[in-house]
Amino acid sequence: MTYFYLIGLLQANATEIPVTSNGHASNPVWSNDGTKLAFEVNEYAGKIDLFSVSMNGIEYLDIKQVQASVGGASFGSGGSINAAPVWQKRGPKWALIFEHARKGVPNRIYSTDFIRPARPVIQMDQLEGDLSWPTLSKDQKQMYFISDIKGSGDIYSYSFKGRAIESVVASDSFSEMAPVLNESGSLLYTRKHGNGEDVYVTAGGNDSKWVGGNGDQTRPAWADNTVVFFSNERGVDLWDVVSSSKPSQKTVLGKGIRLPMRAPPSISPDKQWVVYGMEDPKKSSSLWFSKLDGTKTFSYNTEHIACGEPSLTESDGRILLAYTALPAEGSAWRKLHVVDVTDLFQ
Amino acid sequence: MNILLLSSLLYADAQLDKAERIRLSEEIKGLEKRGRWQAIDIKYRKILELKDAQPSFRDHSIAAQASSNLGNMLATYKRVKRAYAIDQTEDLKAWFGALEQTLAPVEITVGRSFKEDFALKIQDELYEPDDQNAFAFAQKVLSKRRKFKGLLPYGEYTIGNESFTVAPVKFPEEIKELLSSAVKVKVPPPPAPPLISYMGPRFSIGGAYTGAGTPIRDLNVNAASFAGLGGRLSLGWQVHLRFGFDIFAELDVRNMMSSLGKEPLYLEEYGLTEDGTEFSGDNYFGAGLFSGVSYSIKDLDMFAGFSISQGVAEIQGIDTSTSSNYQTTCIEESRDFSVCDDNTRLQDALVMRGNITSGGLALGATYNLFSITDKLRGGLNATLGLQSDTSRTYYWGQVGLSITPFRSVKQ
Repeated sequence: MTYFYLIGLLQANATEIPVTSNGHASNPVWSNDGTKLAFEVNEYAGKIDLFSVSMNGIEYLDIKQVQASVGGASFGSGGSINAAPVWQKRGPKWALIFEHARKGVPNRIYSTDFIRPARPVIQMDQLEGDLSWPTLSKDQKQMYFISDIKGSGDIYSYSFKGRAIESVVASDSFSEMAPVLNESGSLLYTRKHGNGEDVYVTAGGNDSKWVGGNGDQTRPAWADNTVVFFSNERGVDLWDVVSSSKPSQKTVLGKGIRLPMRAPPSISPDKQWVVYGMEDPKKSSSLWFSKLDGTKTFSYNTEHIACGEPSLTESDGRILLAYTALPAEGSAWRKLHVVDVTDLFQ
Repeated sequence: MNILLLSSLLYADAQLDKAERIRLSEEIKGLEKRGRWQAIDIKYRKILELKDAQPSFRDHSIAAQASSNLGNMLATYKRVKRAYAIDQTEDLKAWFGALEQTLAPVEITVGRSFKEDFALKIQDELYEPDDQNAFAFAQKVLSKRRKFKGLLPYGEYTIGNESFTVAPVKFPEEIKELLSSAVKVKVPPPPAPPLISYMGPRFSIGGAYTGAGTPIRDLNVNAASFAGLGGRLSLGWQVHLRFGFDIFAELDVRNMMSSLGKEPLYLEEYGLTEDGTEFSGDNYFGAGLFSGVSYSIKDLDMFAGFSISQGVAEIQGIDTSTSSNYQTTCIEESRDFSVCDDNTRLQDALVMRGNITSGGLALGATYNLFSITDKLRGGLNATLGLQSDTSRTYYWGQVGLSITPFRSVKQ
């Protein structure tokens, strides 16, 4: 396999997104048009705050903290976890779907249009238990998610019109996780079995293993019809980013990557590249781009260290990259940065 | 002493109410964690009913969440306002501000006489859970009580034949005045459909059975009973009424040509010979009116009504049991022979002609098998009639083809 390492293409002038909460910024998620950005701030003390940012290119316009509810015991966000954001287009506006949990309360999926307090998308009397991993269909009218109501995680769908819930993938003794749909509606997900996790696809009612291996093959993402995922096949804490253009085929694109907290691999808008950070301190001040066919890799230098959690989007013809990193000196918390990387793709 | 006792009792009642409020509040707190919104709503209403205890800030806040999740947004607005009256937090201010920015008061009444579907519909899809909850709540209340007073999300709505728009309004300071600015929608009953939905010709043709029973009244001479086969042809008009059934009237002609199991009897000694008479057997020819109602279940039409007939019969033989004076009565046949003697063979050979006027009931069914045009369809038909002229019973039946107006095409 041939790797082309074009080190140090650009020095980034990134915008730092400031927040008042203490904690590590993680899991930046763009809206499809790149005008909204949501991310988590994790203090590692049983509390994850969720923030929404309106963006104009790499400039932030306003920053809002997302809260799950108002009043009573859930007043404010103290001690609560708000995470796993997904943007949903509702007419001209964007709404945010996310997971919310707090002590004594199951993990549920909430939604907010930023005008009203966030509310559960699915009520307890519709489906009990923990709900997680929300993801949307291409037309954004259906949400797929995981429910543990039967013990292990199964995949369900929820129709925003009619509010119907249907079981999509269920297995008796395995946990399904990380559902994601491609443009043609094929559902990608992982199934946990024993000490490992493999990637599966269900399309047209047929459920089949796409790719497996030792350890975990986890958090898959579609890039057209290619699957990109993280694998720790080489060892528990050794993570690689891998592409698979057809079932059972694997191409390791990057070894020793910095595993994001929650996010799947970030794919470029043209579906040709994946971006990731590296664990190796010598390489961690850069973000690394690999072509999905494994023919090319280059890095993008930043002014930060321990770069990770990259997330790409396209906004008004510009390619924007959000990532988290520590400053070269002086801060204990990872901050969120946004940079325009359009030139890299030209 | 009495005053002291009374005040002690009042104090005890107040303490009980306060204790009950605390108990209900704790239950509400626990239910909130499990998302049991209906139960929270019920317990909050119980607190409101207590005379000497008021809901706390937390009660109002959680109850507002509950009613919001249940879709009762008017209750939500009231509860948020009550909570805000206790503690003016920015969160609550933003909350009722959001309600004022996204909802408007609506009053919908569906008339009792409105029998059509009156499901509330909205033009644009709702995605926000609060909006979906509010819409679902209004639908539920309307289907149960045919009346809804509350808050709905902005949008274009239809209910029954009415369309209306829920648009932003300025919320008054006093919640009591809120519904006075409501969009008022009344769903009147739709105009009654025309009395006649459609109509068309009705026709049938087929083989017929005609018979006459034994006379029950004495006459000088009564013809013997008879039965035979022939044909029946009917033509009429059928009208479908808005009540779901049809009325029809048809004119028919029916005859009997061949007598069943009875051959003509010729007696030469009395001048009655096969060559010397036109009589060739019992026969009947008549015309009539059949009118009634018809009801359809899919392809099967069932009909019933009254029928009257006027006919001419020529019958051989007399019924001696009811012909009290046949021996002294002379009946002129074409050959002018007399029957004024006691001769059994002669009684069987006598030919009587006469008019029959009878009325009664008829019923039948048609199984429609094919369409002739987009307004007419045809099928197999069977009809039975039972009539009387007060002297005896006449019965008839028909099996044949029929054509009726096609019910699925309205004219």
